[in-house]
Order: sequence, then structure tokens, then C-alpha cells
Amino acid sequence: MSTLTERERTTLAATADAFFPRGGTLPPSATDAGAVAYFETMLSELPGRTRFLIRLLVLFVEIGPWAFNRKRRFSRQSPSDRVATLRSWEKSPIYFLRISFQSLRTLIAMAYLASEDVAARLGAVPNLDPFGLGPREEAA
Amino acid sequence: MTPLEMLAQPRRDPHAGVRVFADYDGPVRARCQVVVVGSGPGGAVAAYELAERGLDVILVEEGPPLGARDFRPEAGTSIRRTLREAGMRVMRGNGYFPTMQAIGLGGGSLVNSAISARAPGWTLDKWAEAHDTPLLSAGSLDDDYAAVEAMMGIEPTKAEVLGERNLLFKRGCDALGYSSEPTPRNVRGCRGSGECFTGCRTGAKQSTDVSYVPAAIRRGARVLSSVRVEGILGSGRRATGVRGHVVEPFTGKASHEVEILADHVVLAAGCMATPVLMIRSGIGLESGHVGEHLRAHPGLAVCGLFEHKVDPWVGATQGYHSLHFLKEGMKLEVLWAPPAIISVRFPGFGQELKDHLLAFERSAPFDVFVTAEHSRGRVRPSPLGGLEPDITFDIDQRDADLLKRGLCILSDICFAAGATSILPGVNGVPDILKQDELSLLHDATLRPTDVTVGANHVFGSTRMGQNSRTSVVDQHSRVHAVDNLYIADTGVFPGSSSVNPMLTCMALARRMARAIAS
Repeated sequence: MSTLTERERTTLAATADAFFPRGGTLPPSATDAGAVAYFETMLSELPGRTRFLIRLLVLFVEIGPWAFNRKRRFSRQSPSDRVATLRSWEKSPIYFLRISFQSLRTLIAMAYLASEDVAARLGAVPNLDPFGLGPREEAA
Repeated sequence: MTPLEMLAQPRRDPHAGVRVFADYDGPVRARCQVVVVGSGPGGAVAAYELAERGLDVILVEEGPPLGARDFRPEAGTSIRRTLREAGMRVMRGNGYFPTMQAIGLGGGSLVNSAISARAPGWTLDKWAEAHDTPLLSAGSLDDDYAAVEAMMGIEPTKAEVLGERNLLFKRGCDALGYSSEPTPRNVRGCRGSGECFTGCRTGAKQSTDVSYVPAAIRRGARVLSSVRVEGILGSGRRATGVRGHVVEPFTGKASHEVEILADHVVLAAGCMATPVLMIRSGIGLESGHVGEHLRAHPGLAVCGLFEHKVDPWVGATQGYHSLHFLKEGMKLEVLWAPPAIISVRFPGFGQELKDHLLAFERSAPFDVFVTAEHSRGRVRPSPLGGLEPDITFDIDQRDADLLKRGLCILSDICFAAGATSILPGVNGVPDILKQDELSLLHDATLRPTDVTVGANHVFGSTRMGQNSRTSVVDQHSRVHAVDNLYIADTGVFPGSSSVNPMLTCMALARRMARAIAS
């Protein structure tokens, strides 16, 4: 069963790729890295109240530019306009916009770095014995 | 054999004897001398100490037991599995401040960084003087601290697992003349995998689910996991037990009813849950202070960027700290968390952000927390119902100023350790600062809404004191208004412990258990 509507999925993909577009020194985009699918799985496992708030956040991203600045809805903006919109929230004098941005950024970063490919490219691969200390001695 | 295979070799099951969700096939009715609610640091110690003294104990935990094979190093999955409200709990007030509470056998000890530090003697003296707890003077907890330290294998972090991230902090402190030391931690055979916050997959961390809980079982305690306590039974000056439901792990879906009758009830549900349980049950509220006076240690982090490879994901999670500014109300630490969490600090969008992320391997995050003597909050049941708390907290500007001072000191430590730049994470200050630009940080006024302040040490919501009109529990953690109701979590702290609160919580729980047994 889908947790997100098609429209929410479109908004999320546009947002995630504004942070992490395809190409460059770290080639996978957020959608390449499976961020939207990750986000959807995450959402399905959240308590109902939290899930509602996050969906509200996604809705806010989509209609915020139209509601507050009379600009096009987020997913209909050009990639550079999307970045400009998000940047204006990041640096906004309005705390609510900054905290919304921070929440969004945290969730998307979590989804992007959950990709084993991305983590490997950063070198952040889990290692249970990084110092080569060998098997653990049993506690007495 | 790979390291993973070596470390995953079967060991004694530390959770043997714990009743789990699949074990329940109908309503649970039981009777005991003491029922303990919550298996985190306070509850587990209480259960063990009471069982050790021959009492018939039932320890109840809402979450399931989670073993090394259940932990996932990936941040999102781990957070959703091990933290209440899927890790998205916030305190609201003059800002939104993330805070966490674990759910699982072992409670907070399962997902903290294992720092186990004694509160300084002068802190306990301060409690005694300012908060009316004369029995808790310096030295009064020494025996309890020592007993817990022995049980948990607490010792300074070994040099062989520090790694470059921790050593950079030491070098920075040394260069500036600030004292610093390896953090004392409850680990045995730590490999420095840096996964404390997502659950120790090497089994080195001595969280209470692998230390105190099995010890309590060996002494006859019954441990029921996946049981959510929803009410305290009793009235007037007597508690008669607890009631609740068996709940499905991770979903919290209720199934069979649970009723446990007991001569004594110990609440160790955590300082954000115990007040809610008391208020919802309408018991022990006579003082008017249940849920009031919430305190916290607000904290901030700075990330240093270096020219050489640090590999910050390698080494003990928080292996080094500085107590140099403790009397001023600040503690400085090395920080680590899953990369996805730390990465939020890296600024920019698109290629710029990706370039910054590629510098991840050359970064080291450090944090400061303050004792926040002037900041207060409260815990109330959520107006939407249920047992989740509604938490408010306001950071006083004097404490915000102290946080900024701590941030400036951390920045100095970064540069003294050789950082080429820092990521201060303060609204209104450039995302990246070089050393000759530090005045921009020093000159900034930091308001609570200018930074992302986390507060994972919370305490004081059922505070201790002699006077039943100004405190909730007496000096042995017994609720003033109820003869047989006790509290064994950080809610009883009358003030800040100055350092990480876990060890003091455990020492106070041991002290309380001795009082009940006697």
C-alpha cells in the first residue's frame, strides 16, 4: 500500500533532487539513491501523528511558494528556482520557515545517506573492527 | 573469518529469561513485592538491587529486547526502532528543541554513548544547599557509584580505540591549556566502531539489558518486556500495583490486559513519562509539582574541517571530554552520531553541498552542553490523549549566552588542533568560518532560535527534597504523598548533575532500593 500520493511523491522528488541533483563529484541524485522510496518506507513506519505532520510539511513545501510569494508551486518551478526557494527558507528571518527547512533537510539527508552506494563513495562504511583488534574477549 | 563474523559469534544470550511478546497468550495477572516500571538505567538497577536483597520483583518494559543482530547502523531505521515517537520528539517553548527517549529493554542505556561520569562532590553539595537534600552531600553516593561502576565495567576510554577524531580534541585542548581526559564509559572490549547511538553491534557496551537485567533475572526477578503500563493502581497514600497492556513491538498495538499487584511500586519510566503516568493515574499529585521544574542540558555542536583525513566514523563515539569549564556550567565533548545526522551541518545545495559532503572524511564534530541553571520547562500529558508527553521548555538568554561561549571555545579547540575552517551552524553567521573570521561568531548574539539545540539529558520533573510542599519525592526517592510509591529516574534530580546524568541516576536508584529493602 502506498503511503504517499503521486503528487506528494513528485514534490518529494523535486525537493530531494534540489539538495542532491545528479552528476558532479558525487554522481547519484537523491532519486537515483532511492531517497523517495526510503522516505515512503520511513513514513509508513511512523506513528500516525508524526506521519500527519510530515505530510503537512510536504504539502507546505509544495504550496508554500504559491501561498506566500505568489510563485509557482514548488514542483512546477525550475531546478534553480527550487534551490532559491529552499535557500530563502534556510536564511529566512522567520523561525518557522527555518525550522521547516531544517526538518526537511534532515529527513532528506537521512534518506540520501541511507544509500549504501552514497555511503561508500563518502567512505562512511560501517566497520565493526576499524582498529583490527580481533575477536572480543568475553566479559568475566 | 571476517571481523563481522568474528564479532557475531554466538555468546551467552543476555536476554535469556526475558518474557517477550510471543510468550503472552492471554491476560497477565501477577503479584509481587515490588513492581518496577522501566528497564533503563534507574529501573534495571532498582530491580537488581531489590532482587539481590531477596525481594520478589517484577520488572516491566514497554519495548522489546534488542540484540546485536537487531541493530542497524543506518540512522533512520535505528531511530524509528529504538526511540519513542520515532525519534521526532521535540520540546517546544522559545524554540523547538529535539529530545529523545528510548524504547527497548535497557532504555536510554541502549542508545547513549556510554558516558558514565560521577557528579562532582560540589554539585551534590549544591543540591543539598539549594534544593533541600541534606542527605545528598559530597561523598554520600560514593559507595553507590562504586558498586555501579564495578557492575558496568566503567573505565576511561582506552587509547587503542580513540581514533583521530578524539585525539584532535585532545590536541586542541592541550594546545590551549585546557584539561581533558578520556571519557569514562560502561564498555567491555570496545572496538571503536562508533555505533553507540544506533546500538552496539559488537556487544561491548554494557547497557542495562546486558548487565543489570540478566543479573536481576539470575537473582529471581521476573522481567516482562512488551508490556506498556498505562496506570498506577491505588488511591490515597497507597499504591497497589500497575495496569496496562501487552503491546506489539514497534507498532505499539495493544493486545492482552496486564494487572500486576505489588506491595511497592517503583516508577522508572523516564523523567518525561513518569509524570504523565502519575497525572493520568491521579496519584501522588498533592505537592502540585509533578511535571514541573523540568531541567535539561541544552547542547550545541561545531564541526571542524581539517586538511588531513580524519575518518570521523572511526573511534569511540564520545571518547574524550573536557571538564575544564565545569564550574562555569559547561562540559565539552567529542561528538559522533550516524553520518546522516552529522551531515545536516554541511551547508549548501546541489554540487556545493556534494563537495562539502566529500570533505566529510576530513571533519570532526565537537559539542558543548550547559547546565542551564536559568532555563525551565514542564511535562504534561498530551492534550491529544495517550501516554506521550507534551513537553515545554524555554532556554533563558543567560544560558543561551553560555552556549555561545561554549561554541566559541570549541571553535578555538578546532583551530588549535589544526582545523582550516569550522561549520558553526548559527543563523546569521556565515556557514563556514576561517580562524581570522571568528570575530563574527564572537560578536553574534545567539538566541535559542538561531541554532539547533538538542537536549537529551532531561531531569527534575519529579524533583527531590525534604519539603513535601516544594518537591515530589523525599531523599530516598519515595513520593511524599504515597507511602509505597518510589521514583528511580532522572526526574528526581533536584538540579543539574553537571555531567552526563546516567551514573548518578543509577547510584540514586541503588540508594532507593536499599531504602525499600530496609
